[in-house]
Amino acid sequence: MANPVPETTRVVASHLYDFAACEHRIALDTRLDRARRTPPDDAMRLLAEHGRRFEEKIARELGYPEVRVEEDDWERAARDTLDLMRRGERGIYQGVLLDGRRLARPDLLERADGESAVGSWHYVPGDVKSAVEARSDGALQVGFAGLLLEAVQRRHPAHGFLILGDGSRWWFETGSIRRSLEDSLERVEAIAEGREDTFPFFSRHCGRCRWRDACLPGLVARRDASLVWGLTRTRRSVYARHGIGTVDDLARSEATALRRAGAPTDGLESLKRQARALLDGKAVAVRAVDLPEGAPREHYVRIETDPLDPGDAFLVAWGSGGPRGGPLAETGVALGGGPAERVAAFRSLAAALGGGREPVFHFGRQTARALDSLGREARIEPAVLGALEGRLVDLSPAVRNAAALPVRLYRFEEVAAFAEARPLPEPGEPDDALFVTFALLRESADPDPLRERLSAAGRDAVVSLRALRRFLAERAR
Amino acid sequence: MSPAGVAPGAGIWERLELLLHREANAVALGHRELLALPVEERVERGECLAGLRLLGEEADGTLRLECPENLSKWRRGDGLLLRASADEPGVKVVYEGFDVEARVLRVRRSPWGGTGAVNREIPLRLDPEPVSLHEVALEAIRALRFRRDAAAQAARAVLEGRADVAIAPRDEEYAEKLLTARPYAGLEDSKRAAFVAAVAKRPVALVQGPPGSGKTYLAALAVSALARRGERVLVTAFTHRAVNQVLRKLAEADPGCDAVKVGPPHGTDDLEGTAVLAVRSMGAVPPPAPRRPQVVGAVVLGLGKILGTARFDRVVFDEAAQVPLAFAPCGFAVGARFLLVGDHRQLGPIVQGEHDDPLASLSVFEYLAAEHEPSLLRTTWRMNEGINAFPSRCFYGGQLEPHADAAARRFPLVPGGPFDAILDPGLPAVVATVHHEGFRTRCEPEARAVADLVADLLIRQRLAPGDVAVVSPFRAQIREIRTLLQRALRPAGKELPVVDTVERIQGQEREAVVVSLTASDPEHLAGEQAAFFFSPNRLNVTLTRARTKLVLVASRHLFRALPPAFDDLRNADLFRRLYRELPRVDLTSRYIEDGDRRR
Repeated sequence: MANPVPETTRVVASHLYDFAACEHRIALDTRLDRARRTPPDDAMRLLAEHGRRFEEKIARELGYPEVRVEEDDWERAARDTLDLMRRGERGIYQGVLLDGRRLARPDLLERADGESAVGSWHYVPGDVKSAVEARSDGALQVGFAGLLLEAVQRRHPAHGFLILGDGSRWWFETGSIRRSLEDSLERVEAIAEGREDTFPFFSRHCGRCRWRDACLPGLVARRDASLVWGLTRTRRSVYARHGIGTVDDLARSEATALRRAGAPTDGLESLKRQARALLDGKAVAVRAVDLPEGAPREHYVRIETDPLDPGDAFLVAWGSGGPRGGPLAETGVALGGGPAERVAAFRSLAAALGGGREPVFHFGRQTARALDSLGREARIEPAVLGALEGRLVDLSPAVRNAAALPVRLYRFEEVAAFAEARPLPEPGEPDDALFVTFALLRESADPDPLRERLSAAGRDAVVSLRALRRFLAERAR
Repeated sequence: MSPAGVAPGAGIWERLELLLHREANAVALGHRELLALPVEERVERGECLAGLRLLGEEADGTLRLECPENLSKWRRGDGLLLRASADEPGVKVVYEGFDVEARVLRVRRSPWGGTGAVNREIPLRLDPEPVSLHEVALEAIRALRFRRDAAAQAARAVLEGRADVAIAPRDEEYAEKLLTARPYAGLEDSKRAAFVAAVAKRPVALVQGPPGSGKTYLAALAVSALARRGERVLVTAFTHRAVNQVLRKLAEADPGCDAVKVGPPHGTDDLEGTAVLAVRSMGAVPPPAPRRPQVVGAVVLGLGKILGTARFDRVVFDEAAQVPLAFAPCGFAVGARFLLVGDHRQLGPIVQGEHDDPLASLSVFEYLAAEHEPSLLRTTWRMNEGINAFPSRCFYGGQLEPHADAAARRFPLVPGGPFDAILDPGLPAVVATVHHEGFRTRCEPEARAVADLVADLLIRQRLAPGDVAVVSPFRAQIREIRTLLQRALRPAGKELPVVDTVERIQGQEREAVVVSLTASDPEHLAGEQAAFFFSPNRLNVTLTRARTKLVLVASRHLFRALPPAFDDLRNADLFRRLYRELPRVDLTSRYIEDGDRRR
């Protein structure tokens, strides 16, 4: 990197989040001018706004005193936090914890019994998340705050917590991930301080990364090997030592030579096929796949859900047609939003699918999970719901088994575009456009155009599923 | 409160029903998806064997097949289809076993659908037979929910988390008196306490038996005590093997007690030559002989025909941590009081299909253990102190201790070889590092290290093949190691030890166990593999097979994985802890070229 690491560089909790997603972000964040970051788009603004509002709601309900940071005076804010801790406040919102170059600002610090340097009590850290599931990166951030709390109050908090999007509190033992946290922090600090090099690497996290314009154009221009689906950062690094840095290099690589040189070759044939597909812009056949045949009708279902809540379906689309291809005979779309709408959407879907054994094609676990969640919300009898779920046929693994496609992430949008011979999405293009549309719908004064956009997207999705099914049928035995 | 997301209550029944319906469809669906995969991939997954040739058939219907390599997951008794291609219906057979040296696979024609010619001239393959026994479980749930008798109410109360568990004083007195006489005398303290609880607690008792603690023996003694008190006792489990083990131990410990196993021929043939009587159905169980207590054994899913009444006073579930909760009602529907023996820290039930409901992979033992603290057997006769330490701390709250005889055992090193530092008797558990990078499911440098070490164990250290096991999570690595070992051992005239996944050796033990962890691509491990690879139950079983020497062969890069799901991260943290706490001996320079090593 061109710029030296400033002495004031701090390691903050979000670096752990970045480390889990893409370690190169840490290097960019600590060494480049943050003004160069890609401005947030509508989706990012919406997500951030949604998160902020939820956090403020929780903070209001809890009523804890807030620590403010004036004019970037973090030391002052840390002192204010310590004062509140010594006073034994029940909880503190946005407290600041400093330990050398480490800085944490957990959403919440809550008082717990047990002596510490601040009194006959101590504090445990927590964060507020709008997702409904607890993830590692959230726990690592809270764990990081726990390390700094230990330095401040001379007592390590045995537990930390997250308040999740459904309002529930999820507790965990900080000791249960301590080693992972310490190892991660060691590497984060090495990267932040310039002691360890990183490199740009294409992944699904690029779509939401504020540094994507600093990395992506270069990766695409030089046809970096990381554009090949299935290649991990570690494997990319190992292959680079053996002269493989681009898609072209990977496509031409020789397993025997690599093996002799001691490089890993398990999975190499699959990577090579993927690289060739990208280079040629065409599918590279892998093998024939068997899918259910012989039913008089086939059904297709696509369910879109809130990215932060897999159980919250906002778009349910379906279609059905004969087994020999051709246009769909029927399609339907229902929009969710609240429990009543979701139940109604499920019932419409179930009526369209009928009670037989005809296959129901979908793409990815998201639809299967959402269907299950909708069915239970609609209180469908277990036997009926179980039978319906038994008809689901996931085309996602079938696609990957059948051919290497010239796509980068095997998301539905890319695979569908390929199957329909449409232009593929650009690398790094985020895939939550529909959710953004739905979120805007909820707040719009004129929702009808947005509704129509969503409905059209749902119909297009089932048409795409049909095209995908045809693509696979052409490769069947 | 039960494991996350599983609060006992009346709602448990709807959840179980949905699960069973979904599972039934998943079995059919999973089977269909399985057959949609090419044969090579199914072989790689251990779900198919191909390239077989019929060598001959014996009079009892056993077919001998030439089998170049067996990477299958199957166990004795698994139902399979033998055929030339997926288009044929095939001959139904039952998996019997595999002779590694002779490369001969044995299967037996199934009593149901096992007729038909088998072509000698063309290559054959074995596929799993789709079997769904969920109807039995659903019927059991219906029986339990809607019967009004006291036994059904008691069983419902247990499964709904409403049962008040108490010690019956007279039963307690009876149990304690028994402990003064054979065969119950001489038990160590925790076994004594567990025995009393097993006999006297009502309506449910749980006994947790860590590795090497003798839980099957304890179960047999408890069964004997209950039967001698006049109770009608059923021993049940998910597999015939588990039921038969308890009945065999019962017959040895208490010859005055009659044991009857109910099941098909393939479920009782390992009882030949024992005092256990084998019959085909419950109706064929003879009445008890005068003044002789009788115990009946049958697998959980073999109880379908007797769900309507509580035929037994006590139902004893062995290997209860491998009985899926959804199938447990089959055993609960036929009894009034229950004893569960198992260990939920070892491998749990096998579940097909993907389920978001945590109930799906829960065993009945783990479910009930969250409400009713099990009696823990605290002494292991298997592992020495060094090997016991980590699993005891991590999985048994530090309460598992080796018996003095086991604690003192040391690996009998013959010094002067290239692996003395690893085989040092003073280091019972050790990590041998080979710092490769980027490998996923097969790593040749690590396989060479493992093969060299195992060859040393068998040749220089003169251990018998039966004293050693090699374990790896990945079949591709297993194949690699077997190939290298065959090359190394054949010239020395040595047979191969077991080289397999840990599932194959659960319940077994060896003097020395070598584990090839294989993977060094942390991002790949953190992906779809994470839940499987970092399973703490699998880790526990892996770490607790060895008596005096456990060697984990691994690269440091494995321990950098950061799975996105919290549970997987917590489990991965256990691996990091293992890496930090165990002594390490580095073999990298022997197996990795300079140019390929990183910082």
